[in-house]
Amino acid sequence: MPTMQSFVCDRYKLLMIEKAVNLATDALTIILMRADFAQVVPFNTKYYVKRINVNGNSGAIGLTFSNTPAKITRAAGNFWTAGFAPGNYITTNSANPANQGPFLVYDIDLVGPGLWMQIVDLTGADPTLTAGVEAAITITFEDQLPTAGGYVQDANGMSAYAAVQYDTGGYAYIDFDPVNFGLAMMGDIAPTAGALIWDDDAAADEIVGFFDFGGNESSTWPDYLTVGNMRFKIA
Amino acid sequence: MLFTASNHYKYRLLNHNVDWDAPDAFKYALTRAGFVFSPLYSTYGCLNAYRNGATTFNFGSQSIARTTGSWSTDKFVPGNLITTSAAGSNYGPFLVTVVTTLVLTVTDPTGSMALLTDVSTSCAITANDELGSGYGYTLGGTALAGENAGLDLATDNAYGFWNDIALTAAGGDIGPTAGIIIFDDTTSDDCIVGYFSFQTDRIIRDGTTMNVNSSTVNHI
Repeated sequence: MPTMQSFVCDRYKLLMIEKAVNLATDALTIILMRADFAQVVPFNTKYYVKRINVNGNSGAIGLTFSNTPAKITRAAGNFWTAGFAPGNYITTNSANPANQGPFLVYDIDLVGPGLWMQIVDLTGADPTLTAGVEAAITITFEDQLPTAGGYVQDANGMSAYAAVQYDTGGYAYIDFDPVNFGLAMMGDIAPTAGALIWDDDAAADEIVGFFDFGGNESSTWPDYLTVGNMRFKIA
Repeated sequence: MLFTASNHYKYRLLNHNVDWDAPDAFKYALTRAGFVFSPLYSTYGCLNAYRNGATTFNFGSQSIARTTGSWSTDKFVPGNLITTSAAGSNYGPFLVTVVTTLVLTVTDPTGSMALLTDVSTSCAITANDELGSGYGYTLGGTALAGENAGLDLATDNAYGFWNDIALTAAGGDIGPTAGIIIFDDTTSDDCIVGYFSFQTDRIIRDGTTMNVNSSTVNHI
């Protein structure tokens, strides 16, 4: 059996003590992540914080590709605010095959801020890019499992769970009901590395956290994939 | 100082009842000498838990039992130092070690066997865990200032913080006191956030000021 891990995002913790979110009553969405998500670049609770971090694109912008380490640099704008985060699976529409990807975002400039991204290949190695300036390039990132077979993107909601004070254990918790993927759609579930939950009632659909399956899981219809035993705990 | 959060505060946070950003009105209270905090202290009322004399209690066998009502509802918790209005050795003080709905298990204040006299009687029972008023300290808690929420990205913790506490003794000593209870005066039950233990009893001497610097409460 793979070892599951769970992560709670830092910003969501802050929103909780600011009384800006209510995990017990807010509408939540649970999604499945792509194969190998967080396996090479670990899930980052500091910067993978909002729904916009799951997928999006840069728009057509001028980019400089450079090496050692491999970086993509923009002249203006901000990769952070565009939604990019460490761990993203990215591709580009560069005419140079070496610059098309796919890559993983390894780090993003904190000082610029957000002017460059360091990237690695899908094994975590430093790739060799075709160095130079390119105009009107779009970088696309997508970390959610595509809509196919038994999975539909953004379609699984969760809500209304009771908080419990557990004095014996010295903590408080909310248990979520199991979620079945593939059951309603009557199709296969492609390999997925984990499930992510965001809060639809939070100001920017902040991510509550991520359940790392510890490896890729899949299912073949009529079996379905169930994510269960989900507990949010304040200890 | 060592901070311990109450279980109830964790529940209140999870249940959308506590706000460090707006923020709620938080207060601090000083505890008696020798006080040892349990995370079961859930509300400010636990410090001064009280049951009036309308109930008949059965003293004996290291316990004080009742046949109706609930010790928990009356806010008694393990750690309470209680006295009663009963006569003789049943007056106390006693240290509460276990609380069930109908039975308080007690020891003497040092943890040794309590010398209770077997009897059924009506009396009032009071917990005395907060320092009494005097010389600059006021029973009931003192408002904190500058409360706000913070996020420590190095430790991945969200936390509440407030301005330093400065308490000056005037006309006499304050204490000895074992630590500071922080509670949320805005929540309907005055939820206890947690407890800063001084780890030894402290006395604020007449004319001096005790400063508690930049206290933070690591939450989650």
